[in-house]
Amino acid sequence: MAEALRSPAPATTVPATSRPVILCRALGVSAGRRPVLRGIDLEVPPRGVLGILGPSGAGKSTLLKCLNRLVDLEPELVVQGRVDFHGAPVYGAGVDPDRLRERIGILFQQPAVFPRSIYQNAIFGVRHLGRAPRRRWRQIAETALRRVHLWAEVRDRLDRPAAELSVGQQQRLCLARTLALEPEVVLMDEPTSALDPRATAAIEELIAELSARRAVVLVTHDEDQARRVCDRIARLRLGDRGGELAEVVPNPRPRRREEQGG
Amino acid sequence: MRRAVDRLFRLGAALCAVGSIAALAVIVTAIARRGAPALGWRLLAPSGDPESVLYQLLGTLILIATALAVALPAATALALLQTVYLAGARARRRLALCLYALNGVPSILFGIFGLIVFVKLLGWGKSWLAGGLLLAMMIVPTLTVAIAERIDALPRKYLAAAAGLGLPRGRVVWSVILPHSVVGMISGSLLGLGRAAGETAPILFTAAVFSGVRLPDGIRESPVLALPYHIFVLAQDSFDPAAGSRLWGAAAVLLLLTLAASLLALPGRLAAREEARHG
Repeated sequence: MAEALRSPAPATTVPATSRPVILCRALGVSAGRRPVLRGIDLEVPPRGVLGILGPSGAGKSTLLKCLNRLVDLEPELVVQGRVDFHGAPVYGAGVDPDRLRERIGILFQQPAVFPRSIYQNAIFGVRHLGRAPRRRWRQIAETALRRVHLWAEVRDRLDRPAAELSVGQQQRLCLARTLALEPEVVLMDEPTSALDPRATAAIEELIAELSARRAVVLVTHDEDQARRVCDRIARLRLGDRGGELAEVVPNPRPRRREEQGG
Repeated sequence: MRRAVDRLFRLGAALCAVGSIAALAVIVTAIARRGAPALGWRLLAPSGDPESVLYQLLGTLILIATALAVALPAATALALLQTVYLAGARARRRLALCLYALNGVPSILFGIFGLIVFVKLLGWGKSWLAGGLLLAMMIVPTLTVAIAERIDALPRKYLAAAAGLGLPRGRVVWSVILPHSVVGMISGSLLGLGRAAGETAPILFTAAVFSGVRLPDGIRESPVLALPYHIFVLAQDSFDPAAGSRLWGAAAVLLLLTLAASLLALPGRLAAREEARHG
């Protein structure tokens, strides 16, 4: 299984199994002597939306970044415990964190479009990771933009700067950029906190669509949003020694038309 | 009391700014007023005319181009080392300290270093390459600081977004950091160019002669004529009235050279800044 993280071949399908795609056991994080998270046991199923709720400072974003080792970018943070991806330890020797992040994509709170065109943003990962020949870039960009329902809005101005888009459109573009790499899991760190209600609804719609085929882990501070879009909700609480897991509860939500269709 | 201190501080800052601008204006006006009568196509005559500074201009351009060709990649690498690759804050501070120390070395010491190493030890004699390398060493700190400041100003969200897509650090540098640093490279190059174009001491013993050569045809014993050295020699010949006219003419050409470089780089600088802002 450890080979899965070292393999250069991009993954395009999610195995149809109920085994968790990501598993955390006794996960803890500290910043120097200050504990940030401790004792987190969590399972991310291969499909559906797992919501992570909790108060500010409970370590929700840090937990998310532990799942794809983006936490490595913050050298002051030390991770203890175990995180497995498809049964292989994420923090094991020989694991390529860049390859891991390609398969476990992430969407941030603030849209981070690069100072380039819409098209260049959509294919940014594919291009710079060499995942497809140049002749396929247009098609990949179109497919990714269609999946986030942005194609109709930008098809005539693909060469315009991405910064000209509204914040909601920028966030969808960031999601398209991530989806162009066909990740198996998409981590979302409060992706709608900077958006207006209409853009928020569009992103929530997308989350529901995505979760039919892959795992989505959604950090949110919005209880109502968690009830609307999540299949399971993990609640963190702020303990004496950092954030800890309070409970993981199922959250039956009304099935949307597109999910019923497949 | 606090408002009085604030006003005093603002007044001091304004005086400093006015003083700097006034000094620049005086220098530029003096050179323009005395140099303007000497300006004309005679200054660029290919040969024969004692007023011509064509080969001094070409020699200066060769020295500057060599210095930039060496200093720009070196400074980019140092800036990346300082901002991206060095892990600890202490190591970064030490590198910055070394750069500031290098920046503070008097230019005559660079000249003596070049005389010992390039002219004598390597046996190049007076050579344009020795002068270019010494000028490169002198402008590396300025360039490095300009590029490093630009990299430091890069919003962290871009780095996180690129890393979140799975780009290895080398690809993040290539695709995100370096394109963003272009403005710093241009600004630093202009600052360095201004300094390199006007330095006399480093090329005094290593690269420049007053007359007798045109363009270099090799590395060993291939000196060049250079505007700052030309001005330096003419300035010592103050009893000759003709030398005065040639001196101010050469000074005006040197001034125009740095001005032209700034103007030529301006569109690229504005475009890069605009691209960094909007994409």
